[in-house]
Amino acid sequence: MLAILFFGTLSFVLGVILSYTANKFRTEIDPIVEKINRLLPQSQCGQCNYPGCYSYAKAIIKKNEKINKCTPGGSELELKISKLLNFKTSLKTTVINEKKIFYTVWIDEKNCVGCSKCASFCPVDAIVGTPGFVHTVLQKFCNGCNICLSHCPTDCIKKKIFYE
Amino acid sequence: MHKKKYNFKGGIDYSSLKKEQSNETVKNFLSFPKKFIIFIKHSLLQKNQLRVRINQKVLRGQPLSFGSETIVPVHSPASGYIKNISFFSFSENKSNEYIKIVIISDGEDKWIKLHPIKNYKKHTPEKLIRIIHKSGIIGLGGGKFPSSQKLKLSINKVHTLVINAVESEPFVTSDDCLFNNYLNEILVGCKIISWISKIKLVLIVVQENKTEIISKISSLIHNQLLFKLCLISNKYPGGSSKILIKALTDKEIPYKKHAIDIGFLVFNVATVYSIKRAVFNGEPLTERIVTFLGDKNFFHGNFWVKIGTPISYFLMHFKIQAYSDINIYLGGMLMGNKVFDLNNSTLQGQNCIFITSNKLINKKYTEYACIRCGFCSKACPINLLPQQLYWYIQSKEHDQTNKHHILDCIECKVCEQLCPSNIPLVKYFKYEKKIQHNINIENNRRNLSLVRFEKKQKRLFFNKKIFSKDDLFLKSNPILRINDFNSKKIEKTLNSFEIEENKKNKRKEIIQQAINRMKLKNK
Ligand code: SF4
Ligand code: SF4
Ligand code: SF4
Ligand code: SF4
Repeated sequence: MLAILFFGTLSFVLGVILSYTANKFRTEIDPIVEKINRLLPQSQCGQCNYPGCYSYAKAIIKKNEKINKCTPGGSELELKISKLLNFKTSLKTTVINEKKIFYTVWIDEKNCVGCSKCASFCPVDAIVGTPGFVHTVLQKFCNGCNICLSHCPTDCIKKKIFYE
Repeated sequence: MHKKKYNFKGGIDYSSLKKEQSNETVKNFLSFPKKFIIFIKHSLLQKNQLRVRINQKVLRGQPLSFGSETIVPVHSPASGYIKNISFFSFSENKSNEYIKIVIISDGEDKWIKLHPIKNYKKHTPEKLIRIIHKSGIIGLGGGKFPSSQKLKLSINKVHTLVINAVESEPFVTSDDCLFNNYLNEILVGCKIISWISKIKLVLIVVQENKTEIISKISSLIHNQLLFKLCLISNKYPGGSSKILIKALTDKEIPYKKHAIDIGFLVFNVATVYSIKRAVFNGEPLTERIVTFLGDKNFFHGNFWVKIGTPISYFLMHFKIQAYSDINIYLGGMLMGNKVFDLNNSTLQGQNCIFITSNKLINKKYTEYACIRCGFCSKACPINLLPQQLYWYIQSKEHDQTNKHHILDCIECKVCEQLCPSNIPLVKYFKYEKKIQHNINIENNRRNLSLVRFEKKQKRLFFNKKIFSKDDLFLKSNPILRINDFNSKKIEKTLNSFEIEENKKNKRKEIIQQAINRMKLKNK
């Protein structure tokens, strides 16, 4: 009798602790949004009219946004997302092209005036430099989103084919 | 003495095929070529700095490059002078760039001063590994992995040394030849390696039909506890370390893992021999045994060949003139690569040069549809399903091919040989592997971008927190506020408790504006 009482209270207390911790440290990340976010190209280029890849993924789930808005991902990405969400997409409309061209950018350092505008807009911190000095692109980290291109006042950032 | 026979699944038995075997004695009548061409792999990430200049005099065994942790230095094969140094890439593979060094020999073949170590047990393993690294020894079976690196990884991790004398390719006998002629030196090499990585058991693996070698070895090692002889059935392919370990222990090496991870250190015979030469005689790696395979009109046999001897020299030497009639393969009959560029020279990893006349090979094969006969999956030595992979490749299902372990394929061409429909399976597999590689790069880039983006967001968030403190400061200084910001907006922000949320919106707005600007500009 005593044993039953003891273990009963013990399991109750442990249950309370467990549910409390589960509630307190609840993970906010929606697993489906996270999955779609992983599929997206993560270039944060904003061509889908959302400020970043994560917010576009969220909009697909929460706001019924269309899935064909990501330009760098192309129709291949569309197919992948529709597979994940069990949508019906006819294969006719999607053209899978295996060959992709990846761009990075480089700065023509002679013309750089060191205004530091490009660095503040790069979503992945791929541009290094301090105000007043020449800036340069770390090609390994640049994902070719071209956001910096439109912010340079002297037009000295150029596209460069990285690999095909 | 211990003799045990091992077998592995699949493979083809080539022993019935009667072709003129290259015999097992070394012929050494090749005279020195005048010109040597040496290729050093050049990559921007790993600097392989040169130690020589144009017109500088070099001696045999003099290092040409510095090497690094993962790259071994390359040595001059003969004494003479450097004629030219340039960048070069082969026409068949443009993406790899090499440094091409041309050495004109003076015919004297003078060595640099050697530092032989007679009693290796007096030195620490670290020093011996450094010597092996300095001597430029890499896996001579074709692996090309620096041996010093392998030894360094193996210390305190392995329990057994496997000496691989199983020739992957049919008819190639360079390893047998080494065993036949330099058996004592190879056993010394084994002892050196087992001293370095503290190994108590050495398995020597030989194919079962090499009776002469087996009797020789067993008479030499019959009362030494260290050595054990293992026989493996005479089938192609047996030389890959994956298959060897599977046959000996019934354990599989997972993809991207090494035999070292499950306690086995695998070395090719030629590598063991050159390790012995490097430590005991102090000689850097400058020559190796190469098997020449050809039709009856061409030449045959095993030769000591200096590293860097150009292919065109052999053709000249054996008076083969009509280049258009022959095909030259570097490597054996099955796994070899066709040579398109006669500038090519014999490098460290090559154990065979295979020359055939055009007529024999130019049979026209037509590729038929796969009939799902299953011959290929029965023969694959590492339990892959080639037909399934082939179907997935055709329908471009890249994640499925990955799931079916395409990256584990060792490109042995067994499946292709047996296919009744003449499907060039390995060609498809190579192509698919390249695609898998690209997908891998893309995934890595994506993950990197995500991490960096999140880091930047975190940093901005932190900055904003400091900024919002300033907001409170602005509230107490009304004059400043009017000048700097739209006052209505600021009041709104301060009234609500969600300052952060509003800042997020602001950033969204900025980015939206930026996007609009970009679009306008692009139009
Ligand atoms: S450097 Fe320019 S193109 Fe590259 S990631 Fe940064 S903003 Fe995008
Ligand atoms: S925006 Fe242009 S000028 Fe300004 S720092 Fe960047 S590259 Fe230099
Ligand atoms: S051997 Fe050839 S035809 Fe037979 S199943 Fe394999 S790929 Fe298809
Ligand atoms: S080439 Fe690859 S798939 Fe074909 S038999 Fe060899 S290991 Fe198996």
